[in-house]
Amino acid sequence: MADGSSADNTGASPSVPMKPVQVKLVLLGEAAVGKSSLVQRFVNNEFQENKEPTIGAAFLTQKTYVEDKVIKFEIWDTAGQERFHSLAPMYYRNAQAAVVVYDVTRAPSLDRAKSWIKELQRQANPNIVIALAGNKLDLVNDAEQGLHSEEDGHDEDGHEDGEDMPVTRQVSTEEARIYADEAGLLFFETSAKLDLNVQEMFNEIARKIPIEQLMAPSRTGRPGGASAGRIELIGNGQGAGGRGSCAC
Amino acid sequence: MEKNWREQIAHILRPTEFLRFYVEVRVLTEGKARDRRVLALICNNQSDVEEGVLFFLKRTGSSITIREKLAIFADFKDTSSSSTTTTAAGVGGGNGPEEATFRYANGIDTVEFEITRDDNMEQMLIELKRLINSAQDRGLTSSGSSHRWTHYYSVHSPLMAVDPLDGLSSIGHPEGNMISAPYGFRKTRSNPLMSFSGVVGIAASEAEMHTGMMATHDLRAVKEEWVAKQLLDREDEFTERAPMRVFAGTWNVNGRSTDEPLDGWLRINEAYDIYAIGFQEVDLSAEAYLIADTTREEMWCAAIESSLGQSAHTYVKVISRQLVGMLIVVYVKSSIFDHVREVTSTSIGCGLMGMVGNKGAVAVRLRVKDSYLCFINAHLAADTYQVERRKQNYWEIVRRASFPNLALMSGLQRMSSYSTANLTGYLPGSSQRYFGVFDNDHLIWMGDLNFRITLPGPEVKKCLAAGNMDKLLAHDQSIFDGFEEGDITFAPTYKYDVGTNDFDSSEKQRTPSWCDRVLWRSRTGAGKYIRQLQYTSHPELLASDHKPVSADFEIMIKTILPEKHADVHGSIIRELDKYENECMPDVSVSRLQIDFGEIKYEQPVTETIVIENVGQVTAQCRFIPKFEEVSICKPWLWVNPPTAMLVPGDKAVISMTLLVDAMSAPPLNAGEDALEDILILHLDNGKDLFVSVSATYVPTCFATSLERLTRLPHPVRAVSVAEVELLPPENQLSMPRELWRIIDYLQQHGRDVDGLFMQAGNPYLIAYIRDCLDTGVEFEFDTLVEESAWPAGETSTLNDAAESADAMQASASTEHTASDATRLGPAYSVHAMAEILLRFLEAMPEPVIPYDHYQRCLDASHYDKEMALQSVANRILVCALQALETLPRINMNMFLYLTAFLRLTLSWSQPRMAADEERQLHLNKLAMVFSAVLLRSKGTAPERFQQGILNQKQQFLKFFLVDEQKPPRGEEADGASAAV
Repeated sequence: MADGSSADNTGASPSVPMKPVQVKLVLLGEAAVGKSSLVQRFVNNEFQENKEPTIGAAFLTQKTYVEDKVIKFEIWDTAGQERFHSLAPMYYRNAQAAVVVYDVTRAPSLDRAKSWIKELQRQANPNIVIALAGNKLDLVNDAEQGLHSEEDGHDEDGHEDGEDMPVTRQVSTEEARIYADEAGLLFFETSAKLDLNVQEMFNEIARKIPIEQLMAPSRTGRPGGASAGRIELIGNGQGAGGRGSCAC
Repeated sequence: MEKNWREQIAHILRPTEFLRFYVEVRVLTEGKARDRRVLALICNNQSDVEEGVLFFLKRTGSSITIREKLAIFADFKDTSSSSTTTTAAGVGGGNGPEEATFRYANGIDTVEFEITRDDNMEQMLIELKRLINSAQDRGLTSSGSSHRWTHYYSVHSPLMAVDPLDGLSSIGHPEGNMISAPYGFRKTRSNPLMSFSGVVGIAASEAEMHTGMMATHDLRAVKEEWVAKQLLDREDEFTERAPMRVFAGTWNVNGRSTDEPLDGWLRINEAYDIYAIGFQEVDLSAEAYLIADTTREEMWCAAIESSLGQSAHTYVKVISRQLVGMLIVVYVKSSIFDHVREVTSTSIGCGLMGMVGNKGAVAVRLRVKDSYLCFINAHLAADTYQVERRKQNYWEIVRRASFPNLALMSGLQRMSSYSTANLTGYLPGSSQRYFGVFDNDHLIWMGDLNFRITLPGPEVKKCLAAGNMDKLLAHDQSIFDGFEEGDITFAPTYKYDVGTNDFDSSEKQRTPSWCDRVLWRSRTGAGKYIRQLQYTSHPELLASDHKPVSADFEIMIKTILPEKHADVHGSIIRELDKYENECMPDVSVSRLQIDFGEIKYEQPVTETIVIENVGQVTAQCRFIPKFEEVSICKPWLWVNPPTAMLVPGDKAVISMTLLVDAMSAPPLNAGEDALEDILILHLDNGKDLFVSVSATYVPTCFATSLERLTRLPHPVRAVSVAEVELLPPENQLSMPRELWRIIDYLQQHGRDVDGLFMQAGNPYLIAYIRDCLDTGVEFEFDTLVEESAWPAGETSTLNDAAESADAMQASASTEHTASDATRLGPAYSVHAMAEILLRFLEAMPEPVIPYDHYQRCLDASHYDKEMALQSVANRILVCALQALETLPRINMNMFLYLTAFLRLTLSWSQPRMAADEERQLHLNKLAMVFSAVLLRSKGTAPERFQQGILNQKQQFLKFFLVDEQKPPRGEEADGASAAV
């Protein structure tokens, strides 16, 4: 226990820990995989069926707390349509974090996600924390126990392709996790609709952000830091991958 | 002014520091006099030695900033070169009799300044000498533990960039990180004081101080406070509570000691968890003011411990604090010892000169599990008539009592098992640096508060004898509004004859009064968690002229449930973020996809979009360039206006005009590019919207490369761009078929038309001809013209270069044409065709004389000028021909074909002209018009418009327009024509 009589000489230089650290986060991924829905779930805890496609880049902020740090995510939710691909660098440059989303019921969307990740690893900030999110977990039969059954009857509007049938999973958890581990990514299977793993994913990203680097007054001298960051990232990716699989 | 400085300095000081003196100086940088500063000596005597620091202050508007800071350590000295003394007490080298210069150094920093030699300087030197001596005696060095309090005052350097982490605060105030003096936090934090303003009269001036401080308050702290308040409002959602018994007792012992057991007062059978015991007048000796003597404290603690030792439980002393006669001691049951954290204490002297502690308070603040408790033991001014003085004492204690945030300072916060970032106020994990007496769940205020009964002594005694307590209580002087107190059912506790239970029998016959009290006050909403079980006095203790008082509390101590806390905190933050996101600018755009349909060369089409501000705040939007681009859109698109500033509900119409001209057409004609673009409409501090623009381009022979035109098997629109298969090079045409068609038409119909190439064509006809050329369809002007759908002729001239020269001639031609109605049709189509020829040549991506031959051709004409006097006409032509010979085959073909045709037109028109001068003028004009399109420099170099170069171009062309090389009429003629 601290000795309280020392009221007069406990004046260690106080560093106020509450300053929010701004982290630019970009969402990438094929059209209609649920990027905006993930953001809506994270920011407003809402879900909306049959959202209009994003034409542009929506901008939202959300704070999250990691231990004693405050992280303010500045989220750029980009348009997924391929014709806007060339505009993506505007949004991922200088980003400290990226969420690359695919749809677990559409295998081609994972291929698209992979090419986004390649592009990020080639052209984005070398310290960028990338999370791979397999969304629409609610659509596949192996979704969380019982949560899905109540939702079954509600899908009469169908999805993008207008299917009424129960949808089958086209990307296995295993396949995506192996890829994520190899590429050094955080990995989560998510459902924006059922609020599965959404907060967890953003919190994990927040934990992996190299805050100290962001807080350093000068961010030159990247090379050393960059390689260190990369190593750490791979390690984290494996840890998170394990966690992701547990959650599914 | 003087008063202002003193007040302003006081504003940035914490209550623990005070201003010794201040004096105006001029701080020097590199030996040059610089800005005026106020040198202030700030001292802190919270430790057993007075520690000093020099601040060099600058006033900016209504606020002051610390620009330099120099702590007075043992090695503090004046190092100015002209001074031989080693301490500041020596007079520094001066600039004359009136100014002295000092360079003070403390081993870390050095500050050099000028000061006027006067009494102020003398005072400074005396004070400094005293502090330096004291620092040297105690060995205070920069590496030691002294002067830590100075860290609360941050230096604001104008050269320093704004703290990158302090973005928020720097937005709020240009000097955002200036007053990081903790008192700023304290002031704004102590809002509970505001709800308490009824207590004392000076609350109003305090309120003014609050508003003043708000100006420098950063936004983040405001937000934190809001979050903390929300959390407190919902505290029950994430805490659980368990009762603890708390004893609060007070006794004015009148400087005496006792061997009476304290068991009865301390109610040792009640198994209290916490004992907070306050004494007054433990030491009445004169030395008590000067020497901190702990023997009395030890004696009373021993007495307490002796009684507590009789209890079934073991107790541990947590803290004690003494100020002269006032002593507070806190014991806790050993079983809860581990739950007691963040224990701090403070003392506030309100006695003589406001500093000495014969009156005032000692106070303890501690955290029990997750509740914060504060115990104040006060001794307020005595005597019945001193009510106002007691109020002042009370207020001074409230204002000056401050408890450092131990958790924050020692890093304990990081060790806590749950995340509590961004909390302020009464919850663990606060970022506040200091807490006041109301920053607690429960404040228990006890002591000899010297409240008197305002009735004559005999009447009081009569009432007491009659048991008429109500009358007495109605005349009790209690001044503590906002506090609670249990019912007083015991006899007045003052004044007794020592050793008896008899009221004062001395001459003074003091009126019996309830001087000794225990009151409490809880944070808003927390009142229900404290309950008084008993409130009584203990007349059995006879040692003093006061009787001790005890209060027995049950407090529901809270424990924060980390997970639930995180949930509630998260939902509050989410709510806050939601508001923030809703306050971002938002606009809607009437359409995000604009299809212009079919777009033909040089035929502009305009579409509009409407931007509406559908958000709650002003939206500034603008189109921004894409990544690594400089313009907001492709060169064939014009956006007007490209920015808009919209208040909520406002709309703006943005027009977009698509025009394919000679500059933008080549890649489109070649099928290498399409009319597609995405524009980014950016909202400042908000989202981006993508506006897609598309159109179907109708290719044309205009602005198409010669290479492509001569290898196309068909007119450009006979097949789609995608399907076209170019002819192999060996089958390449010798000339574009379109050029042949144009010239063929002019040869057939142009013979009798006056002003050929001097008159503008009808734009509808021009578009029609272009379509015919592109599709290969025959010209059928007759049917078109007879429909007389065409507007009247235009008088504008053909191109820029010819404009001034042509003005008069053109208007003459128009009159002529208009008067000759029968020839209207053919003339119109011929003029349109003539313009088509010029436009075709002008639009060629590379002119007939290619760019890399341009200079050589100019030089050939230049050569002529130099050699003209030699009269060797043939040599001039040779030079020109030599220049021509190097052209690509097709270009040479075209050039020769064109010049041959131009000679033909001259042969038509010149016979109609009577005067030689008229013929010469006509030749010059023709040369000017055609040289402008055939000879072009790359880009839009300004030389295009230089008279000398224009002359050279014409000269070159004229070699090929004149059949026989006659010596030119002379430079005068050329010059004259150009000058017209």
